[in-house]
Amino acid sequence: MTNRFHQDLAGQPRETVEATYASTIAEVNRLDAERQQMYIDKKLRSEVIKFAVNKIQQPPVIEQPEVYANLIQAIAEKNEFDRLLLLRDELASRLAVPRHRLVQAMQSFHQRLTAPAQASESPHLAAEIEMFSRFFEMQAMIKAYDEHRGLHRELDEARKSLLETVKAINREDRKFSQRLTKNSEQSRPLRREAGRLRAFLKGIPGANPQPVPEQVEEFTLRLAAGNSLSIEEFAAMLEHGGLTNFEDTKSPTPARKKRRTSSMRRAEPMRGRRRQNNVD
Amino acid sequence: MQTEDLLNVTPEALVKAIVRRRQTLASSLPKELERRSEENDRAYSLAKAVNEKSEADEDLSDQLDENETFRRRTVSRLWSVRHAVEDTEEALAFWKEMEAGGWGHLLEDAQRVEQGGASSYALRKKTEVDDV
Repeated sequence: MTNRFHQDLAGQPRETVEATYASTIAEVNRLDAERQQMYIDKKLRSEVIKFAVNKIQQPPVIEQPEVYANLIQAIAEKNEFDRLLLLRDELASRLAVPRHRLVQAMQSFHQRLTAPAQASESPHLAAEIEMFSRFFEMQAMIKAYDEHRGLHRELDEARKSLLETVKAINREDRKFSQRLTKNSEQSRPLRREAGRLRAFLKGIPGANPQPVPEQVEEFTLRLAAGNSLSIEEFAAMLEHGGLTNFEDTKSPTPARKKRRTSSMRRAEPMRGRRRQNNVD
Repeated sequence: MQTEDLLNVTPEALVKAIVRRRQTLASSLPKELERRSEENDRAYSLAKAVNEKSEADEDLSDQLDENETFRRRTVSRLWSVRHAVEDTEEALAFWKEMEAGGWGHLLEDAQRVEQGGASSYALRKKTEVDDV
């Protein structure tokens, strides 16, 4: 007996239904494969952005550089930015005094060493020697700053360029999310249809339809990417495995601290009714 | 003075400028020393005179204190000028020696920075951090 869900299939030959079922499964598989690749791409993008904004120290390994040119560019720009930052920090720690402070101090030293002054205001010989020595050290320091004058500009440009690349990757990521949603929307009715066809075929003697592919692998990828799953998806993972295979990168939550109980009997007044057996 | 001018100052030029300033100061110091000596002599005489009178008259104690304060101040001024004279003589001898090109040891820090080393300020900062 054919139920109302299979009325349209009842008149068709088994081979035709089987062929429709096979083509539906093939389409589902194609969409699943496409979606899985998109999840991998999404995770890769996420890792590169994390690296670019200093949330992780090592960039992800990209096996097909020609496919992910913008990600390779972002990693290269971040490395260049880090190199310039290191140079700037080295210069700052080598010289220790900002350039404008050096100029001020040099002006003051030059004035005190050369401008006519009263005996009471004139620096002593020891102070003069110190100022003379400092004056030329500062001169060398300013020259060192000036030699690296382009460094700040380069650093600024590297930062801007990296931000632009990250923004572009973010934009791409949003487009990817839309494509993912579209893919899921396309896949859902096809799966439903495949299930319906399979249920029909199971009712025909001699037919042995292959099962509809599960989405467990995709769920694992989604979990790894930090996305949420619906109750049905969790149920599928429980039924077909995958939850226990999922590697959690986070540290395990510490065991809840045991509440310390006092060995002393509490003797404070309590709310509520007295128990019957305590009544004299 | 502009930064460019400061960067163009050479050790020779700075030594010459110091010597010039010191010579100007040295030429004014004998007159200053003479003035301070006279001032000190006058203060000493005043203090001495009032001191002798105050033994007989107790009302002069305020004046005695005032003169004594003045005398001490002039002694201090006189010593300052004498020290300045000594310092100037010493400084002139030193900088004249430097004028002949002996300032090398005074430019050790500058040379270290020029060769890519740390400034004395950075070294001091590092020592302070290490000590903590």
